[in-house]
Amino acid sequence: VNTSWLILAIAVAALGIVADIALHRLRRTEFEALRPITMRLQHMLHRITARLTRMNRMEAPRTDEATTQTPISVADDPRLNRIVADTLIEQMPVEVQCTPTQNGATVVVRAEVPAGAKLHVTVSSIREGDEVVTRHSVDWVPPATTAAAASARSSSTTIDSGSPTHAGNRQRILAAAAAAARSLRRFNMPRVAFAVALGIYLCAVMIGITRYPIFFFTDEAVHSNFAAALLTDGLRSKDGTLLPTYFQIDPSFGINGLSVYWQLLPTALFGQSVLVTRTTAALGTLIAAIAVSLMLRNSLRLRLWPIGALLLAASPGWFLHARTAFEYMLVASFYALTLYAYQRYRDGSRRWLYVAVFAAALTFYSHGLGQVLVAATTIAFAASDLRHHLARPQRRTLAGALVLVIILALPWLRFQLNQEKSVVQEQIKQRGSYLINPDLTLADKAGRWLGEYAYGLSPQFWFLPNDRDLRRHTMPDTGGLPLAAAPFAIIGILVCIRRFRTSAAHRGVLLALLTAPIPATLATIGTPRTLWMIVPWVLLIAIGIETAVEFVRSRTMRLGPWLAPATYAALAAAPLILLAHALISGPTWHDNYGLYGEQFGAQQVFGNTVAPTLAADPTSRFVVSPSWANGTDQFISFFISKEDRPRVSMGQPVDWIDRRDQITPNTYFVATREEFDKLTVDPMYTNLDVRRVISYPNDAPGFYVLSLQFSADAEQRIAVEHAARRTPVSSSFEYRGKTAMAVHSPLGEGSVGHLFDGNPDSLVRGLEANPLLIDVTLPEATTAAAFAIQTGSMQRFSVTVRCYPVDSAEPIEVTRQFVDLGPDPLITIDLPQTIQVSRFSIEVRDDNAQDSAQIHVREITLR
Amino acid sequence: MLIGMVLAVAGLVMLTSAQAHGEFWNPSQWTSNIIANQSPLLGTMLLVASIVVFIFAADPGSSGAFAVMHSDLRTDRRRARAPRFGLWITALALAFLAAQAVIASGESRPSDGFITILWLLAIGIAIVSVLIDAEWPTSRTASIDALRTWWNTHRREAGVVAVVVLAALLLRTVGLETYPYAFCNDEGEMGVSAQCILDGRCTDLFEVAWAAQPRMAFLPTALSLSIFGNSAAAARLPSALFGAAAVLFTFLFAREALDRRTAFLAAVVLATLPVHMHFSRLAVDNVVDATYSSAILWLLFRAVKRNSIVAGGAAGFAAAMAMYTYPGSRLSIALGVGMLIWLLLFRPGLLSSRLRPLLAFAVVFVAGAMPIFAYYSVHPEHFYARLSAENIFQNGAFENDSAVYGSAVGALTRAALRSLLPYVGTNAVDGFFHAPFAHLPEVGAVALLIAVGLCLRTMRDPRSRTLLMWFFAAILAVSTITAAPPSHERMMNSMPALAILVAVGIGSVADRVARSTSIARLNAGLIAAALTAVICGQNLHRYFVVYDRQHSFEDRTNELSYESRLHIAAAESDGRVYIIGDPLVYRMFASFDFFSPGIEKMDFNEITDATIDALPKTSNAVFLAIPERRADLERIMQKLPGGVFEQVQRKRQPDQPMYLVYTLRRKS
Repeated sequence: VNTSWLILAIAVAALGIVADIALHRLRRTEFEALRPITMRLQHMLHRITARLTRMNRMEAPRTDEATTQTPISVADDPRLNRIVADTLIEQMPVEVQCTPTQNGATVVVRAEVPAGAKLHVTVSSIREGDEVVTRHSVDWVPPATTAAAASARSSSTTIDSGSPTHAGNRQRILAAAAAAARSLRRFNMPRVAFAVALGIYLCAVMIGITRYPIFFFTDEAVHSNFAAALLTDGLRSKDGTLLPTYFQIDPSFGINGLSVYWQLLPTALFGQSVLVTRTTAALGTLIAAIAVSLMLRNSLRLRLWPIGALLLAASPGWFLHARTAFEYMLVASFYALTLYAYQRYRDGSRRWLYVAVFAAALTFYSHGLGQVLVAATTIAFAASDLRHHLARPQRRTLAGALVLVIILALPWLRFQLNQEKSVVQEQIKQRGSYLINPDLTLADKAGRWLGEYAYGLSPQFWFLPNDRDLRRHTMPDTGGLPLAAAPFAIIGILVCIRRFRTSAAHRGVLLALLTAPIPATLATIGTPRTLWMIVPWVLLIAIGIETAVEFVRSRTMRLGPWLAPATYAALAAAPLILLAHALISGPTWHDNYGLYGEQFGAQQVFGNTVAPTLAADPTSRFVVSPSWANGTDQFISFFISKEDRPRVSMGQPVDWIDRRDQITPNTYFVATREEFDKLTVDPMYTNLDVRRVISYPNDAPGFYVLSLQFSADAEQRIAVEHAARRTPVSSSFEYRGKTAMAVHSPLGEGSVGHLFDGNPDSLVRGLEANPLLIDVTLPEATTAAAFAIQTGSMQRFSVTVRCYPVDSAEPIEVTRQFVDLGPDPLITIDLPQTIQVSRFSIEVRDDNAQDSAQIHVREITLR
Repeated sequence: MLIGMVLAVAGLVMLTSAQAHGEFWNPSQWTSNIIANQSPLLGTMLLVASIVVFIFAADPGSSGAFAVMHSDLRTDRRRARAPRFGLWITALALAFLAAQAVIASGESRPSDGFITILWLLAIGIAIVSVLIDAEWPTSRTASIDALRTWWNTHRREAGVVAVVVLAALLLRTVGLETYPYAFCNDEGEMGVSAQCILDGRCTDLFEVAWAAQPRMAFLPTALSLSIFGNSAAAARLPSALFGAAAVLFTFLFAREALDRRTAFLAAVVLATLPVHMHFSRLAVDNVVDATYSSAILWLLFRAVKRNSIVAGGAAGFAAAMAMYTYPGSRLSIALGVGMLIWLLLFRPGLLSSRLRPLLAFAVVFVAGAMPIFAYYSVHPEHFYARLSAENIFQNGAFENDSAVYGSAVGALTRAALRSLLPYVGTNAVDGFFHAPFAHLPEVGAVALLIAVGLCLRTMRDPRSRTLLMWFFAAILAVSTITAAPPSHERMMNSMPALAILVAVGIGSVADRVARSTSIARLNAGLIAAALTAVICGQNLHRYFVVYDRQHSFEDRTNELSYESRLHIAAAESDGRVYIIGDPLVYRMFASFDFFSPGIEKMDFNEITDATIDALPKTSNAVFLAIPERRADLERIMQKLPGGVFEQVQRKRQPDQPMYLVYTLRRKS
C-alpha cells in the first residue's frame, strides 16, 4: 500500500511541479500584459474598501466628494522618511510640507478644519526603530469657541492658583460642563440616535423572546431541524443532494433552503432551543432595520432617518413576527435590503446593483412567495427605470448584473432540472388558491385577484383589526401597523405621488407598495404572507412624519429645535411600550390555546416535560397527542435528543391497543383537556393516573400527563368499533349531470363525487378500510374500455376492477398490482374488451398494510 | 481621570467586600441585595461608570501607547514586481494527498509514518516557496550586513527582552515537580497520551485522542518525556516553554503594534501574571492558546504592516499548528482573521497592496491544516466534541441555570460576570486555578479599566479593536457560554491582551502624572516602571506565597494518585495494585498509569471474605486505601497477614492522612 501511495505522491508532485512551472511562465509572460488588469483590480479593491470605510462610519454620502479627497504631499527627503501623515483615521484635507534645515527640518501643516471643530496636532520625531525622540502637541480652537475655551483656561488658572473659593468651584463646574459639551459635540448625533434606535430595536425583538409569542410553531422548528439533520449528514439532504436548494418535508411539501442555512451555524454552535432559533431569526430582521433607516437617509434624504428602525419595531405585525422564526421575516428583511441597494444604484452608485441582485437572490431563496415578490418587483423597477438602465454608463453594470443573476440562479436551475413540478405551483396549491379552482372561470379568477389585491393595499387591512387573520398572527385591537401612523402614511403617499416623476426614490417606494401584495394575492391576503409590505409602509410613514415635523417647524420657531428630538423620543418609547404590553398581557390576549388558536404548548410539553423526564428516567416512554398543533412530529426532532427520540411517539392511547402489553407504569400519555375528558368516561381504559397537569397561561388545565391501562374487554370493543368503521355505506352523487348511487367504505375525507369531478386535487381518504371499496351504479349505461385511477402515494398496492356489463349479471374482473410508482401515481386498467357498463366496483388495497389503512384516491375516469 | 480612579477603587472595594456573602452569585437576589452590597451589581456598576469616565478622560492624541501612528499602514503604492517561481500548487497537491490518506480506511490506507512525511513535505515545500517569493536568502532584510546592522541598533533592547523571557522561563520552571501541588489527573492524561506515542502504540498523529485533541498535541510532552523521563517536571516542561514563548510573542506584538515601552511593560506583566504562570506550570496544554494567539496576531500584524511575505507564511504555519493542539486554540485563528478584516477591509487600498503576504498566509495554512480538516470532515463529531460537551446551550446547563436562577437573562448575566470579574475584583475561583485573589492586583485592575476606556475611545484604530476583541473573545464567547464559569483554563487566550491592556493603562497613567507634576517628562518611564514593579511584586507574592499557604490547588485525589507512585513501584512488574478508593479515587485516574505504566492496577472496592480469598496468592500485592476505607483494609490485613502497613500523611497538610498502604511481598 505504501508503495502505491509513494508512486501516487511522486506522480502528484511531478504534476504539481509541472503545473507550477507552467503557472510561473504564464505569470511571467503575461505579467506585463496583465499589468493594466491588475492595476484595475487594485483600483477596484481600493474603491470597495474606501466605500466600506465610509459605510463603517455610517456617514451620509457627500455631494461634494471630489473636494473632500485628501491631498497629501510628504517631502521625499530620505532623512525625513518617517514623518507621520496618517490621514486614514479621518478624511480631512491635510497638506504637510517639510523643508530640510541645518538642524533638522521645518514642518508646515496646512489643514482645512470643519467649522466649530478643534484641531489637535502632535508632531513626533522618531528615530529608526520607532523610538520617539521628541513629541510636541498643539491644540487650536477656532474663534467661534474661543470664549468657551478662554473660560476653560481661566478656570484652570484658578485651579492652579490653589484658591478653592466658591466662585472657583462654580467656574470649575462650568468648565467641566463645557468640556462635556465639547465631548458630546464630537459625536455625530444622528449616528448616535441611529445606534440607540438599533439598540431599542434589538431590545424590542429579543427581550423575552421565548415568552412572547406564547406559541412555538412547527414552522419555526422545521428550519432548525433541517439544519441539524444537514450537519449530521455532512451537509447533504436525505436524498443525498449536497447543499440542497429546497428541503422536502413530505412528498408534496417543502421549504426553501435559505431559512435552513440561516439556522445552520447557530444550530452547530448552540444546539436546538427556542431561544437560539428565534434569536437567530430575530437577528436577521436587523438587516431590515438598518436598510430602512439607511434608505431614509441616503435615498429619501430625511433628517429624521434614524426613526426607520423604531417604526419597524413599533409596527405590531412586524414586532410580533420578528420575534418568531417564520421564514417570512427573512423574506421581508432581504426584500428591504434589495430595495435599499436598488435605490443606491438609482442614486448613481452603479455597483450597488450587484448588491441588489444578491439581496434579491436571498429573497428568492427564502420562500416560494419571495420568488413571486422578486419577479414582480424586478418587472416594476425594470419598466419604471428602463431609460436609466439602458443609458450608456449603466450598460456594463447591467451586463455584469445579468451574469450575476445567471450564477445565482444555478441552485434553482439545478433543483428545477430534477423536478417534475414547479415549487411555486405546489406552494400555491398547498394554500388552496382560488387560481387553481376548476370551478371558477377566468373572469371569476380575475375579479377575485383584483379584490384580493385591493384588500392587500387597503388601509382597512393594515391599520384596523380584521377577522381574516388567525389570532396568533395578530395583536388585539390593532392591525399590522399602528392606527396612529395612518395619517402620516397618507401624507407620505401624497408626497410620493407629487414627486413620482422627479424622484426615483419616492417613485420606488410607491412601486414597492404596489408590487408587494402580489405574492399573497395568489392565495389569500393575510398575515404573515404580506409582512414585507410593512417595509414600504414604514418608509411612507417616515416621509409623512418628516413632512409634518417640517411643516410645524416652519410655523412654530419656538418649538423648532425640540420637534425632532421629541418625535424621536416618542417613537423610541413606542416599541418598548409594545414590548411591555406583549410580555405582561400577551399570554392571555386570546383564550383559544388549541389547534385553531395559539397552538400553545410545544415548549411546555416537549421542552419542559417530555425531554427532562426521558433524560431522568431511561425506562420512561411518551405518547403525545398530535391534535393540538400542526405538524407536531417536528417537535420531537427539535426538543428531544437523538438518543431519546425512539421513546417518544405521537398518537392516542387507542393506537396502543395492539401493543397494550408493552404499556408500563412509566409509559406516559399526553392528552389535551378534551381528550382527557373523553378518556375518563371511556370504559376501554382503567387505572387512569394523572401524573402532571400542564396549564395554559390563563391557568386553565391544558394538557394532562397520565398513565393508564386498557380494560379487559378493550379488544372486543375495538373490534366492534373497527367493524363499524369498515362496513360499507351508501350515498349519491352527481355524475355527468345526473344522480348516481354508490356503496363505499366509510370515508374520512371527501365524498365519492370528488372521485369523478375531473380535479385530482380534490381527494378522497378512506376512514380505515383496506381495501377501500367504491361500488358505483351509474344512472345510465356508459361505454368503457379502461379505467384511469389516480391514487395517493403507496409503495405497493393492488387494484381490482369489477365491471357489470348491461347484458350480463356476471362481472368482468381485472386485478393488477403496482410497486414503487412514486407519488400520486396515475394508473390505467384496461378491460378485456369495450363494454357497456351500468355498474362497476373498484377496490384499492395497500399491500403493505393490514386490514386497516387510510387509502387516498384522487380521481377515477372511465375511458 | 482622578474621578474615574476613585470610582474604580470604590467598585473594587465593593466587589471585594461583597463576594463573601452567600447569595453573591445568585442573580435572583441581586436587586434585593444591592443596597446592602451583597451582590456584584453595585461594584460592577461603579466599574462600568469608571470606564465611562475613562473614555471621556482619555487623551489618545497626546499620551499613551496609541500616540504613535503607523505610516506603514498606508497604502503601498510601490510598483508591482514580477512574480518569482514557487511550488505553490505542488505544496497544496501534496497536502491534499496527505488529507486523502488521512481519511482513507482499511487496507487502502498507507502507514501513519508515510502520511506524516507527506504532510511535512507539503509544509516544507510551502515554506520554501514563501522564502523564494521573499527573495531569501538574497533579500536586503536577510543579508548578513542587514542582520549586523539590526543587531547593532537593537542589541540593548534584545538583551533586555532576553532577560525578561529568561526570567519568565525561570518563574515557570523553578520547583516545577512539586509546584503547583499536586500533579493532577488531567496532567496524567497528557502524560499517558505522550507515553502512547513514545511506546509506538499511537502513530497516527492526525486522529483525535484525549479531550478531543489531535494526537499531535501530545508530541511536545512526548519529546520532553523522552529526554527527561517519566516525571511531573518533564510532563510540565512543554507548558513552561510555551508560557515563556507567549511572553516573547506578546512583547513582539506590542512592539509591532504599539510602542517599545508598552511592549516591555506588557511582557513583564505577563511574565508574572499568576494565572498565566499557573497554567504554564501545569502539564495540560491550555496555555498554548495564549502562545498561538500572540504569535498569530504578531505575525499577521507584521505581515500587513511591513508587507512581509515571510511573516505571512509564518503566520500561516502558526495558524496551521494551532489546529493540532488544544481546541481552544482555534479561537486564535479566528482572532487573526478578525484582525485582518479590520486592518485590511476598512483601510482603502491596503488589501490590494498586501495580497502577497495574505496569499503566503493562506497557502501555508491550508497546506498545514488540510489533513486535520479532512479528518474533521469525516468525523464532525470530534470537531464539535468539546463544543457539544461544554457549551451550556447544548449540554442542558443553560436550562438548568435558567430554572435555578429564575430567568435566562439572569443565568447568562451571572455567567458573564463570573467570567469577567475575576480579572479585576472577585476571587478567581474554580477553573483549575481556584485562587483566593483576582487575576490582577488593585493597581493593575485600575490600569486595565483605564486601558479599556482608552481603547473604546479610540475604537476607530484597528489596534484598539483588536485588543478589545482579543481580550473579550475568550471571556464572553468561551467562558461565559461554557459550563461552570469562570473556566480560567479556557480564558488563556485573553491573557496576552490583558497584559498589553494593563501596560497601556500604566503608560497612560504615567504620562498623565508626569505631565501634571513638576517632574521632568522623562520620568514617565520611571513612573511606569515603578507601577509595574508594584504589580509584579504583588503578583509574585500572591502566586508563590498566598496561593501556596492557602493550599489552593491541593486536592486529596490528585495527591494520592501522585504520591502513591513509590508504593506502587513496590509491586514490581508482575505484581498487582488494588485500589480501595470508592467514592474518591479510582483506577481510571490517569496519574496511576503515567507514573507506573508497567504495573497492573485494579479497583478493589467490594471487600468480602470471598473476594479476598479469590485474590492470587503468588505475586506481590499492594493495597492502597483512602482513610475512609481503613476498616476494609484492616480486614484484608487479617485475612492476608505478613505484609507491611503504612499510613501516609498529606505532604503540605501533615495533620491529615492521605492514604493507607499495605504491601505484601510474596517473592524473594
